[in-house]
Amino acid sequence: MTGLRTSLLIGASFFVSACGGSATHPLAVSSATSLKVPVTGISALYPSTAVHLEFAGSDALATAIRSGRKPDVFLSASLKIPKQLAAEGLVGKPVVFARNRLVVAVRSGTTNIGSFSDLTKSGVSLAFGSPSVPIGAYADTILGKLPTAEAAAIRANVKTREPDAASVAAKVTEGVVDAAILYASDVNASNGRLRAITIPAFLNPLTKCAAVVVNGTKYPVAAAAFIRSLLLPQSQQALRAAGFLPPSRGD
Amino acid sequence: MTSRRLTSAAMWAALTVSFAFVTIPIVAILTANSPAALLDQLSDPAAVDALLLSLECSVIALVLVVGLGTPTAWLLATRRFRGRSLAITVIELPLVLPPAVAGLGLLAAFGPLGWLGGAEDAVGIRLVLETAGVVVALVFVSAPFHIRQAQAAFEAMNPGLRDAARTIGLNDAAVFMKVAVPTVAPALAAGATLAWARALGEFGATLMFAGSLRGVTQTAPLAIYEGFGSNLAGAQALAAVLVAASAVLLVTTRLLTRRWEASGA
Amino acid sequence: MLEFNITGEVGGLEIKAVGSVEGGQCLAVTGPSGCGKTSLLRMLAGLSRPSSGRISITGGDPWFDSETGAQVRTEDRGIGFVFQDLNLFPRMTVLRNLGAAPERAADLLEAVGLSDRAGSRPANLSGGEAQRAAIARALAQMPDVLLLDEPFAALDDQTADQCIELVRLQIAANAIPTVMVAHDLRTAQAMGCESALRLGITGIATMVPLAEAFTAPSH
Repeated sequence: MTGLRTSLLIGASFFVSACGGSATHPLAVSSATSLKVPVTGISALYPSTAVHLEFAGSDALATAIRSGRKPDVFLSASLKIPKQLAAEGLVGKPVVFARNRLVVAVRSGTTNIGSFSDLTKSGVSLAFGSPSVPIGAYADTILGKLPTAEAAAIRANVKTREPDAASVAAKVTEGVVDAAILYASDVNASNGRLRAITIPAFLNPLTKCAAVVVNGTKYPVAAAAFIRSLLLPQSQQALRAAGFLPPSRGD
Repeated sequence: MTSRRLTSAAMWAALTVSFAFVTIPIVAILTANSPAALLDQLSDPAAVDALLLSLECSVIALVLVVGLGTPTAWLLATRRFRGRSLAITVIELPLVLPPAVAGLGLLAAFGPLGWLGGAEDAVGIRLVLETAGVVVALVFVSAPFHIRQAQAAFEAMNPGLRDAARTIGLNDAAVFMKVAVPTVAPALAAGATLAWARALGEFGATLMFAGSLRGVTQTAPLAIYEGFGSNLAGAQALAAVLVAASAVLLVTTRLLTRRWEASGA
Repeated sequence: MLEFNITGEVGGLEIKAVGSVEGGQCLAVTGPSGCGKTSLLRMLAGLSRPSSGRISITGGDPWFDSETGAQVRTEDRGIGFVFQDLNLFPRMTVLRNLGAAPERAADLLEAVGLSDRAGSRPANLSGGEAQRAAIARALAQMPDVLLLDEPFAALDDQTADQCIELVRLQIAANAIPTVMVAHDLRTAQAMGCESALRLGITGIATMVPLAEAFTAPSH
């Protein structure tokens, strides 16, 4: 009961702050590409607040913030990047609003890859994110947990490192590579063109999606309200529908 | 008098704004790092790999563009055939296509699931994820720059020279090789240089079609984009090299064009 | 022998011409400006196509025959052509402009007095030098037929006489039928032309004695 009331209150404050004051300018929200589907859906849930969405790799968006091209809100596919930005004094405290699992994504109908261990087979081609972007860094994390020989075998199969998750996914759907390490949500967003193969839990870093208010925003109240709105039940439902997991209690 | 002066002042102001608009970002890139830091960034093996790959791919693409594009331009300039203007439009289309569209098109044509994917498998050719795929992307986006210029040069060539060449017994192919190409050589070189500059800067089509892997498909622009997220100084150093190379190529184009115009052929 | 009986249309103007010229002889072509003299030479060279008629040369397939559809390409006709605006290749040396074996090219350049200009580009030649280079190029092909479009116009009298002498000798020595557009009687006489075609605005041009062609209009 209390939870519901809180969320209603949060929602109310979001709308009030969004409509009040001088916030006629749309709220600029930069988001990791991997969050595109749910974030676009969530922004449509609250039509009274104009939100301008921009999607790119989390790392590129972080660089943009460092170079002074600042949105009001930054939604990252990893917790690490906003933590660094916070340490540099560029953003506020990160709020984890969802988690994501990593999977091996293959084209629907692919038969030569049936399990994670098939990635070591020679002749298999793989797409990873570039090391600087979360989806690529997570893939490297997974390889780091594997025995050296297996990691080397997989690494030898990596034929391209792409600048963001969407670009990685496209390499699989276009048949350029056989498989990729992607977010479960990317497979969810592919309209059935991709199929997910589970990565064993002991290897799988549960990734955290975090939102931050960018310091220096003209609309700090609206920005904070937007971030709180991500935790509202209907937002969480949109995230769940897109293949994300809710944040855990400790986040 | 006053209004004429005002107009003139406004024009000079416009020139100043245009000049500053382009100059400031370029100077900013070149001065983002001290010369020592720049050299240090460029000695990074990944940067060296990217620059060497860019050089290799763009030179191979240039050879293909000149080798195929020059005879193409000659036919377009000298023959009248059904579908000629359609052919010209199609060949020039990559000039105005977004690189992402070029990338999609190349994938749809030459990708593993594309039209010719099966044929490529059959003969053992693979373009995606390979250096050859980078070359294909570069040829696709840069060829029109050369073909357009070459066609214009051949069209501007005194038609009497073709007549004269035929009277000394040269057939059409020999007229092309022995008379037309030497006559418009500076214009051809200018077109080739422009195509080269475009190839050096290619990003979107390369990424979508060939991918991005250090030493194989990651050209300098792709390395710049990757560096943007993780190593800004390194990206700026690579960018400075591309700025310098582009400037050299552009000046070369201008000099060649001037020489061509002075030759009056 | 070169024989022709052709009708052609150039720029809305109809040209009808009948004529023949023996090897070693020169046929003069004259007429008011704009009456198609150059166009006639171009049709003989195969650079433009007559609408009907026939062009033939002794000892070979007809160059053009509208009845059979025969048409020999310019490059296969074996002609030498001096163009009115010369059309020297601008980015080749004078020697390479001749498009002949180096020894023959050098001999011809010597004959037209251009030995010292062999390595020059056409742009660096005087008007007279360029004209002589064009004459040398036409002769360098060992042509079966020589077509000359006011070939001596840019030359001073003395040089013109030297070049006329050279061309005459070559024509005679190799029995080359020659057709020359000329605008003055003196040049035509110096070239040894005995008859001429006077092109008019209308009607069929046929061969008349030289003096007649240059004295009175044909219509």
